[in-house]
Amino acid sequence: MSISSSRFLRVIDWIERRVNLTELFSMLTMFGLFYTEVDTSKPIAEALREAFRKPMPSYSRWPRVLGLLALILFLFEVVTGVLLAFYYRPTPDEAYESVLIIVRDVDFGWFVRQIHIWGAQLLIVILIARLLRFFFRGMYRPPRELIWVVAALLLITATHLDFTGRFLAWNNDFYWPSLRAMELLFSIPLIGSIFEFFIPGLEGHSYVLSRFYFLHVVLLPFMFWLLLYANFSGIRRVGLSEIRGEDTTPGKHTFVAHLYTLLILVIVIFGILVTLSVLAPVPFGEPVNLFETPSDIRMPWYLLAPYGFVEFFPTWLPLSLRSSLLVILLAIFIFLPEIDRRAVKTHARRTLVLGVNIFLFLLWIFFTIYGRVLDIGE
Amino acid sequence: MILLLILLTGAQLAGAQSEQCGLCHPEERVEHSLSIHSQEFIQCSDCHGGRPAAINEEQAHGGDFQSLQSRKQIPRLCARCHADPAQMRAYNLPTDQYALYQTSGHGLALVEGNESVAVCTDCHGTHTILRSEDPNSPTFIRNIPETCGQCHGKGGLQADAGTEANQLQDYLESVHARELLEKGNTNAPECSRCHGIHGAAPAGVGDVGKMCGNCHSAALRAFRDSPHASSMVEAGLPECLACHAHHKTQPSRYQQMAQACLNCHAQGSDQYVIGEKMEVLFARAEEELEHAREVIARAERVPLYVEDYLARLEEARTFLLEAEPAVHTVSFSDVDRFTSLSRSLAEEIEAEIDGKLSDLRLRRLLLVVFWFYLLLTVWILHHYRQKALKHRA
Repeated sequence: MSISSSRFLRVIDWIERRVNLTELFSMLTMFGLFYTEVDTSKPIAEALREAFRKPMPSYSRWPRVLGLLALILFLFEVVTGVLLAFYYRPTPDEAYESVLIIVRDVDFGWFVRQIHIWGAQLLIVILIARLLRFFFRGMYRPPRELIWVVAALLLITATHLDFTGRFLAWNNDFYWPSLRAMELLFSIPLIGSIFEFFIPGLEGHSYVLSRFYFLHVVLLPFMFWLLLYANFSGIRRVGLSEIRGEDTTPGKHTFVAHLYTLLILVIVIFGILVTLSVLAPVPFGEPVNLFETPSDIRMPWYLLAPYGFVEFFPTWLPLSLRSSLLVILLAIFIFLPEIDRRAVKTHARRTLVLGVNIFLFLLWIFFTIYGRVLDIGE
Repeated sequence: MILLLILLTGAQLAGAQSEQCGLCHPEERVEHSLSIHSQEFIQCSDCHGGRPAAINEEQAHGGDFQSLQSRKQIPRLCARCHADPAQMRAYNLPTDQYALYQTSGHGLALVEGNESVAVCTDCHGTHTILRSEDPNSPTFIRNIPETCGQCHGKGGLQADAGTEANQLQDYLESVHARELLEKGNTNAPECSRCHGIHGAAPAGVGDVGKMCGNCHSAALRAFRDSPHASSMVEAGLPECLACHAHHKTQPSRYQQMAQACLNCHAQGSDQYVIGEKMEVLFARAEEELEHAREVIARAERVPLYVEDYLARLEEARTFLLEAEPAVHTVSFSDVDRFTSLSRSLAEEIEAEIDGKLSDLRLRRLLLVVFWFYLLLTVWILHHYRQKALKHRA
């Protein structure tokens, strides 16, 4: 034991004289592994000893754990996504066929695909739950404004990731909603024309598929990763959120316990994903038929509210106006802290803001149901 | 001046190239100009004689002129060129039409003095004669039923003569007409494929089988092995047509098989029972194939690899297709051989896919085991976590 451990220490020492291991460890803390800031000038053994000894509250406690869950799910998505990329071919002629091969012929291909799909849905659910928590606890107020903005951007990025991913399957059930959503996107004044420069309509769909592929596997995950970093980095600066009734006496939580909780979380999430994949597998669907528009175009569930909102207004109102309204609402939502700061001066106003918050939330629920009913109506 | 010059040259050219018949017969001239004969420089006088260069009727209709009003002359007239191998060689046309015509029902009746029967011009047209390959030609394959139907159909010449004439209407209801006229399948027979072209005549008893067997060879072979073959000829029954309607031939449906036996055999007779049994064989095989098709569709939605099963299903369908001609032997065991093969192949497909689908159901069972180990791991980790917390405290 002592021989092997001393040999291990010698190896560590050898590496440490060439690479700053504490810096690497500090990098991990940027992604929720460790809560406090690490002094990178100290050798790794000392930094670790300090970390192990330091009493601290934990990320991994309900409902604070939501951010960590988002990170774990993102890692699941990265791993399964990389596996899928080995077999996927991003051209209109081959996309459907290659997914078919993944699901049908490759060992455990169906499993990886189901985990990837369900993981994405769960990730969006968790990001929404996290945003709702911030929303109702007023956690967008100073000094947490940036964390709120980052959380909102994380959700937007995640939905875009899911949306581009659905398109990649080259599946009739996903192709047409994409068309409808892009129609909406392009109708936004100014922003629409910028998007149109990068993705010039669905007509040249061979380009669209490869661009969506690039967005899905490179640009958007990279953005998501940056936002995650911004999120944890911000939290380390402003401190963990308070949980009512939490025992914050020093020595109650330790780094080791935190690591164990992390492991348990990973295992439980994996279990949930496996269960969903086996019990409620997402159907495979038909290949895209460009010559026949299906009678019911089902929007992804998280897009039902915007979809319902746009469809709610009478059709003589130009689409560009309706979509602009949507963008304005989204902007108000993201920059809620700033608006709140200007509005909230007195206690009476504070309750007013909470009322407005609840109203907005109910509006979101209403439009989600409305968008869903629209589908059935068609 | 220039206009006059053009007119003069035009008139000269016309005079040099064609005959003057068109001056009095403009309609016929136009009709003729559209024909294959016009293209090959066969002119009015080649059939009608006379003096074509003359411009008054008296002179033009002089000499060897013939108006060709008598229908009896026509076959021989056409044969002057069309029975001459030396003239027809360049066009790669047969020269036996006239000889065949003389053996046909039409030709024989004409000799007997019945001038209302079909002569060359009734089918090919008079002045506007077109190639048979031309879709506007009355002898183009898809126009043949209508052409024959002019006489052999309701309201046709034959009906005037007092004989039953609904061959065209019957034919139009047949599977052959649907194939030829609706689907454009030129392999399907029109009138002449069975009755002959220039030697057209109704087929005699004993020849019907040969005629149908030209295309339905497997059915004919099976039929000749059956007790029906000799007995039908003896009884003077028209073989195939005894069960399949005459011109109104319909696609065979196994559901009507026993019904067809009743044409000759009594209900409850041994022969009728065989018919009923064969019907059951087909129904069961068909049902099994339909079931296999559903199972494959279910597997495809999973998705499982089904190309192999689809190929085997095609094989099973082929066996069932082979059972159809085998029916003509009226032997239960012959039909049973093919339907059983078809059925067992379909059952094999179902069994294999069912096996694979139950593998999928196994996944749910494994889920229980999976959660057991998962929770066990979580419990162990939780235990160590508590220990770490206690150690700290």
